Formats: sequence, C-alpha cells, structure tokens
Amino acid sequence: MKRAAIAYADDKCIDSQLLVANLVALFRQRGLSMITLLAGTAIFEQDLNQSGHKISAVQLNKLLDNAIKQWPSDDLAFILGQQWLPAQSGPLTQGLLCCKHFGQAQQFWQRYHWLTQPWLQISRWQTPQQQHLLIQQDLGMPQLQRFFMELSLSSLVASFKSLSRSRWHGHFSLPYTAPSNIDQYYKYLGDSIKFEQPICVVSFDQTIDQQPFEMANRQGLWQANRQIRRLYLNSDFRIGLPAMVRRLMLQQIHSNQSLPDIAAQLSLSPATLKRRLKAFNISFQQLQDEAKLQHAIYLIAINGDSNPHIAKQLKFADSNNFRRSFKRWTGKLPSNFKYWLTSKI
Amino acid sequence: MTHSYKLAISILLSCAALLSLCLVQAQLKPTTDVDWLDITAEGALLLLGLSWLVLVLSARPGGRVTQLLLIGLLGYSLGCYMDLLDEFFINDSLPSWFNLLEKLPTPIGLVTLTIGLWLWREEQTTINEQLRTREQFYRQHQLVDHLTQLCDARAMRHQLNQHLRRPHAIALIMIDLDNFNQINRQQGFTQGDQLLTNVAQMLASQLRSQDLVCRYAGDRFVVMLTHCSEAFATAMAQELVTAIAPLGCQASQAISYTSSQDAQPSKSAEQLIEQVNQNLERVKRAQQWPKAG
Repeated sequence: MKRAAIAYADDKCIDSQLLVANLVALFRQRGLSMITLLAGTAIFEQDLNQSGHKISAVQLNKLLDNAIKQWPSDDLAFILGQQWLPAQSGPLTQGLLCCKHFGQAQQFWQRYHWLTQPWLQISRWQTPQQQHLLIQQDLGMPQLQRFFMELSLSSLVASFKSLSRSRWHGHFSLPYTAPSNIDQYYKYLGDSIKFEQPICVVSFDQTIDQQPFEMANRQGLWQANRQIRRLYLNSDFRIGLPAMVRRLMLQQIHSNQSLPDIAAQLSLSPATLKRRLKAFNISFQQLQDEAKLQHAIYLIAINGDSNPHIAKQLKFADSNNFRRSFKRWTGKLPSNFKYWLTSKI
Repeated sequence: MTHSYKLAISILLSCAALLSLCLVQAQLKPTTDVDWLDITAEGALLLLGLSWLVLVLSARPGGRVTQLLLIGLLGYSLGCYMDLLDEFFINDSLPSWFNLLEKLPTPIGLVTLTIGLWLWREEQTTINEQLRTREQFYRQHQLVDHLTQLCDARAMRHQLNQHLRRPHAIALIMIDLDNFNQINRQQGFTQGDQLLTNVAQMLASQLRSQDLVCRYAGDRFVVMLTHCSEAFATAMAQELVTAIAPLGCQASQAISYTSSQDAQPSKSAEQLIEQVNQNLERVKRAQQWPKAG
C-alpha cells in the first residue's frame, strides 16, 4: 500500500475525466463559451483528452465559479447530478451496478467515493429505524456549499432511481436557507426537505437498504471491488485537509485539540496549517466548531444525553457554557434537537 | 446583417458628403468663437439617436413597423447632425439648403417615429394574444427559460399570487415526464432538449386562452387553469398527458384545486405549489417502474 498524502488546495488530485469533462461536454452541447468557462482556471481543452489528467481544488472551484455564472438557469448542479452515474466509467460504476442492494452500494460508495467525489466527506449514523448520512465538504470551498450539496444529493437520488428502479424515499436536512431555485429541489429531490438545519443529513428508513438492485452480480462486484481497491491503495491522495482536520478532531473530541496539537499531528507548523486551511477559505475555528457541533448533535439526538453530560464530554466549563455555544452555532437550544432524527419521515 | 452594414455605410457617406459640401460653400468659425458646451450637448443627442437606431435595428424583425421606426430615427439623427455642423460654421455664410435640412428632418422624423410607435402598439397587442398561454400579459424576459421558451416557476408564482387575490377558482396541474433521464442517456441530450421543447409547444397550444403554462424545473411543467371546475381540471390534466404520449414519452400528472368559495382564501401560491408537488410525488410513488431493458 502506498502512503497517501493529504491533499492541499493546490495539489492536483481531482480526476478531470469525471465532473470536469462532464461539465465541459454539457457546455459545449448547449453552445456556451468555452473561453469564459475555462478563463483563469489554467485548464486547457486539450488537457481533458488525456486520461490521468488531474486538477487541484483551487482550479475546480474557479471552474465551477465560472460555470455557475455562465449557466443561463439555476439548475446546473442538478443536471450534472443526474449525469453522475452514467458519466462515470470504470470500477466504481461497475461496482455500484453490481451491488445486490442499496445497503451494499452505500458501503461501497462510502469507502471509495473520494476517488470520484473528493469534494465530499461522508459519515454515517444509525438510529433504530433509520440510516443517516452526514454530508460535509472536503475539497469544496465553503462559498460553493450549495452547489456541492445540490450536486451530491441529486446524484444520490438519480443513482438510487436508476439502480433500484424505484422512487427515492428519504428526507433531506440542509444547512442553509431555502434558496431561490427551490423548485429544482422539489423536482429532483422530492418533497421532504427542510432548510436552515445545522448540518446536512440525508435520512431514510433502514428498510430501503434491502431495496434490491436489478443488475446484481456477485462476480462483477468482486472484480470491481478488486480493481477499485488497487486503484484506491495506489492513489497519491485519499483525503483532503479539511476532512482530515475534522476527522482528527472527532477522533479526539474528549481532549479538546487545539490548532498546535492538530498541526503537530499533521507534521506542520501551526502557521502553515493556518495558511493551508486559508487556501480552502476555511478557518481552524470553523472546523473545530463543526466537529463539536456534529458530535453534540450525535450525543443529543442519538444517545439522548443530557446537557451537563455533553458539556463534560466536549470539555466545556459547564452546561450553561455549552448551551450558549450551541445557540451560537445553530441559533437554537440543544433541547430542540432531541427528536431531530426521529421525527421526520 | 449585410443590410445593416449597407445602412451604416450610407449613413457615413452622407455625413461625409454633407460635411464636404459645407466646407466648400461656407466659412469655418474661428476656434475662439466655437461654443464647446453646445457641441457637447448636440453631439450627445446625435450619439443617443444613433444608438437607438442600432438598438431598433438589432432587436426588431423586418417589416413595416421597423421601417417606420428606422426612418423616424434617421430623420431625427440627420436633424441632430445638421445642428452639430452649424456650430462650426459662420451662420451668414451657410447656404440656404442648409437651413432647410437643419429644421425639417427633426419634426418629420419624430412624426414618423410616433406613427411607427402607434403601429408597434397594435402589433404588440396581436403578439400578446399569441403569447397568452405562455405569459398571460405579464412579461419579464429574465424569467423566460432558455430551452423551452416558456416562463419559469418564478413567473408562475407571480401569476398565481395575482389570481389568488381574485374570487375565482384556480387549478394547478403539474406534469412530469416519466424516465426522462433515461431518454437523455439513451438518445442524447440534444434529443432530450428537443423533446422538452416539443412538449412545451404542445402544452402552450392545447390550453385555453386564459390559462398559463410554465416550465417548473427539469422535465416538470406546471399549468394554471382559471375559472374552471375541478372536473374540468381533471379532464384537462388527463388530456394533456395523453397528448404528450405521441411525442415519444409517457407523463404523470397531479392537480391541486381551489374553488372560488374556498374556506381559506389566504392560501398562498407557495402552498398550492407545495400541495401539487406532494400530490405528484404520491402519484409517482404508486407507479410501476418499467424493467431495465
């Protein structure tokens, strides 16, 4: 197994044969200007013909910025999301197609998604009847949060539909206010959507996990799995810096890791870590708040813990302090989230 | 395009001809006597007149109305040009034809322009009638969807809110193409886009003149029927879905209806849209999915 590095904002780690090629093809098909699309991205059209060509997070974000500005309506992310599965080629799609049911596909996707969607960080929670997928951004800049969420969620729903050949049943909690293109959400994600939630969560009944896939094929899955595992283990990068910082912080949430602590674990100086995070347009403080909020919600909604207990776990001086911080993160009190994950569908 | 080039060249040539005639026949003012403020103001008027000319030329299709507008603007611009020229020459030395050309073109141009505008109004009434099922007399071109040339969901919200204030029945029909994504994938995006355009055109032509159709999102269309019974709305929805089938795609529909004596007059456009979306979701869930081929 190759030792993989952590991807920084200007590391070339995003395969341009996937989303980028897809985007370019879509723009060409609609007769939009390639020059405006690629302006300032340092990507050239002929690069996209080379297999193995990769771009950095900074380039991707600039490209998407250009694309959103130029696209004449507000459904770009949804259209790209619809095309995600059919546009992929190679072992990931092959594997997804061959899975026996949705539960297996989820595991497969969660393990290897970074190879094709390095802008995502996915974690999974479970309550007695439901599965919850937490979706956060890895290599995506915070200003494109809505775009990446729209892209990921619509590709999830579209892939579910085409693999299981049934309608998606699930609920979405989204961490922003209802946008002006809300009609696209109703169309592509269904009618069970809540905005202004603290974190992005996709919830669905565990019974869906058993939803059989039509093209299930054990041999095919085994083969795809072997191929993609090899690809994964030989790749130069397997995680981006924002996701890595979040992960380290969650792993040691009980010891309140500070910037110098995390920097030391990454073999960076605190100033360098700060600078590297700034290239992603995110601060250490934000990531720390996110990790604490995520864990706090887990403790409230899944474990049903009391405020003093959570305050102690997250190293707050007392429960009042915790309540105040929680209010600052979410605008609501912790008690509002007790049944947050159980009262949706 | 060649037409506008010819026009531009002839304008330039006649300007140059007028200028040289004046240079031959009249005496230039000494530079100290030239009133630069007047020249700036009159030059600006000329430039504005010419810019209107360009706008009309680029925005309008040919025809009598366009011709009148062009002649009017040309006359006005000629007047402005002569006004500008006379600032550079000694008044007494200017030939008599100059005075005529300076005073006449502006009023003639403005009268022609007014006649043109009047006819434009008539023309627009006709076009509004043609576009009724697409915009119902509310035009905001930013809200027009580029692909299907229908208005989008924001325009529908505006119209719904207008109609909900009045005491009449409104039905919303939501129509969603089945498995459109698969058509895109199997036949290509160009075919998919063509299908959407065809469906949009068909829907716009099937409706009564007081109804409105918009593209909601993706392959979902929304139709507003006013002054109708619930039975009529149901029948209409079914008919529209049946009419889509020959275009090469199955579709599903759902309606939500508010009668004129509805107990809750405070129903908002948002609620109606949400309700019809939920109804459609139910219809789609109950559907049998065709097996993958």
